[in-house]
Amino acid sequence: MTLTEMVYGILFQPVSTLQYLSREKPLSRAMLVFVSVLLFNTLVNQAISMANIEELPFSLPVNLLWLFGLMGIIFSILLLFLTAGFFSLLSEVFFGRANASGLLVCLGFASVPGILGPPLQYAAILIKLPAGVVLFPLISIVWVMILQVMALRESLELDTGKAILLYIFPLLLVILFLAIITASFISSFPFAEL
Amino acid sequence: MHKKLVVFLLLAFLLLMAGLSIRAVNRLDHGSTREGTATIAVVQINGPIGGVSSWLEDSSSTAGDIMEAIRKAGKREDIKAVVVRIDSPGGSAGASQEIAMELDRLREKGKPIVTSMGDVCASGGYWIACSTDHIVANGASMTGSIGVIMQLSNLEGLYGKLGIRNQTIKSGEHKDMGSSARELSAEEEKILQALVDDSYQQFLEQVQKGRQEKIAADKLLEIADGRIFTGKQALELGLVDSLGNYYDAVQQAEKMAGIKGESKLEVINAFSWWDRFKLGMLNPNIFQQGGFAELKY
Repeated sequence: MTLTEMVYGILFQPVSTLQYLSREKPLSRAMLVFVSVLLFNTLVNQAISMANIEELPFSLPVNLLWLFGLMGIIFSILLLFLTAGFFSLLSEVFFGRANASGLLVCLGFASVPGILGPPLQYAAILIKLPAGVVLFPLISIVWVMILQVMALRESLELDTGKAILLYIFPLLLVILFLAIITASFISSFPFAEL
Repeated sequence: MHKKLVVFLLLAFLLLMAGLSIRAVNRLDHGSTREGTATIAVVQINGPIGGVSSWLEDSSSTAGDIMEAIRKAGKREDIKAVVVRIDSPGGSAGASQEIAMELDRLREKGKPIVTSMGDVCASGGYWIACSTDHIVANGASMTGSIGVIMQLSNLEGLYGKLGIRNQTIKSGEHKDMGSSARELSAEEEKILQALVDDSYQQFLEQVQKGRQEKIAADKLLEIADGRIFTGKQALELGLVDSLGNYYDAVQQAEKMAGIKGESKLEVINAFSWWDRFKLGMLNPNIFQQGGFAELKY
């Protein structure tokens, strides 16, 4: 599979493409795609953030904007590795299946639809289409999330239910943690006795 | 073939949007969203004025960049006036003089120049402002500080404690004047004081030249002892021409250039996002290097 076929496949034939990616593990190309998406979105997001400013008296500290952008990219790459390792570990613990490198490649490619959100949003701003400003990035985020679930399913050879459960597990943990904190906080209130 | 076409179309769309984004970032970076018939160039002077810029700081306080921007404003026919936005506590004496000289040359070409003071426009910043036709300050802007300072450190005691012995081989008696390894001699102190006095005299001449008929020479001598003033006090003393903000300065420039209606503003020494990105990557000088003994306004 060439890179063009991989990019096309992840968008229009995700199941077979993810199966191929988790098996062949083209890590360098996955990183290339992932970093390209991040770099492109950093640029377009800068234009979006400035689009509503009517007039700038002075230049913005673009150095710092780029610095933050670069830090974001580095953080995202680290997060990708951590996510792949974490999900693979969870899958091994719960379902006895692990494929960290395959999952890393699949998650890298799953970011591809994310490249459509910001430019479509910016286009919507330029042509003054308010619905598009909200909808386009939302659609792109949901698309990426669906692909991430599919990436879990195909690379770890799980069924859809287990993949979804695995995907939302960190969220469930956070909710549980917050519930415990809230409960302990409420229990500390000096309620009046009836 | 079908796959290639889809990917090609996708890439074409992304390239188009990337181009539009770059254009937008560049355009906004130069503050040129205001559309008008004539252009007013804005030259920014931010932070301590010097000859070297570092990675994280805005290089709009580097003499070279500022002079280049002033020259650009002079060459461009569409630029009818210049607003120098100064937010600087001063800096290197030489760099301030260089910038002021370029402004004088631009004024000779007939383009009006207006200073807009930010929070601080003192010392070297005020030197530069004196080379403009009109000075607009905010009521609370800090200005003045007409004076010269040179600071030296004698680290002889520290070196002794650390066991460091400096050895100096010199061609003349005063070649290591200002060295941190020894005390200044009385004669050297005299030489350096003369240097500071001469530089101070030049500062006074610059203010007298720039504020002709606005402040008397004896009054100037009275206040030129390094003290600072608010914009309001400076107006009463004749150190500035009017109170107002950046847009009042722009309006003043429009008036002086005879521009009817609203003008287009262009921050002329703003780097494009790519320049900054490139500079940041290729020139990671985080800390600015300076000489040990530097003459500062």
